[in-house]
Amino acid sequence: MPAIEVDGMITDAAAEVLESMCFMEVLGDIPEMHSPDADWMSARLYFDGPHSGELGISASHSTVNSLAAAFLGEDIAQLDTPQSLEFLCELSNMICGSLLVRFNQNGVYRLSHPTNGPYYRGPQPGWACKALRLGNGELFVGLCVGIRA
Amino acid sequence: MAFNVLVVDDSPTMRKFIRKVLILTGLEIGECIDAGDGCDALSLLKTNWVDIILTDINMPTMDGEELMRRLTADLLFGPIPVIVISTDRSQERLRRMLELGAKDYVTKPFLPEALGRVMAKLLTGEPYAGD
Repeated sequence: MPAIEVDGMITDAAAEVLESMCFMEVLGDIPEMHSPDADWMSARLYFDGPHSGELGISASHSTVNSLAAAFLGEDIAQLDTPQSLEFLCELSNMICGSLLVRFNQNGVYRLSHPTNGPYYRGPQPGWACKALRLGNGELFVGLCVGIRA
Repeated sequence: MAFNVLVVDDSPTMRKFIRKVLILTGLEIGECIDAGDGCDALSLLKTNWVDIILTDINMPTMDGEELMRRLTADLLFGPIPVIVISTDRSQERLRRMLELGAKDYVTKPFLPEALGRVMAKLLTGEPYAGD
């Protein structure tokens, strides 16, 4: 799958989820990803099926909080960190689902349970990575995907 | 008439989100109970009257497919309509869940109207007022 095609799919998948579930518009790509601050949080999961790989997302604590507040229809002040982390896991799950159907509409994939961690490791050889500019901050999406022989 | 709903999803955040969406559908919702997996769901059904079940597929301990098998095989729970809510949008998964007895399938992400439409069809048999 051409890298440029995967890049577009990542943007489309993230935009679909963020716009419909969090009412957050994706304003565009960020060509140069700056080094994240210490307060970034992340979630990642593995998928297996016609394609296998790993997807991770990262954003600053404040960006995650405002996305989680929009998703849950709550005030940011009411959210605690475990809720924001749990939301980030769910967001990674939905973006992954939205992405995989773009890879293969009829493929059945198994997804692992998403897990949280510190800042997701950034662009690496063989990885498709997108940093997206949102109305309330930035979201980094990293994807490593392999196609079964 | 208010409808009692059982939400089955391993993510507390998604369960909370679905509760919010249920209010936004405009349907008359009575009691809304939730379970973290299929096992919890079956336990809750023994002591709670439920009009409809909304379930995820990918869950620990007992996933949505196994839950569907158990529900369909049960004389008491079999008639309760089940809507699958999942990130999995493959036609193959959709076919499998419908074959197992699910009445409809809503893929994440979704808008409240999408869930309201299928719930109204199953619970009232009338067109969804939110459209």
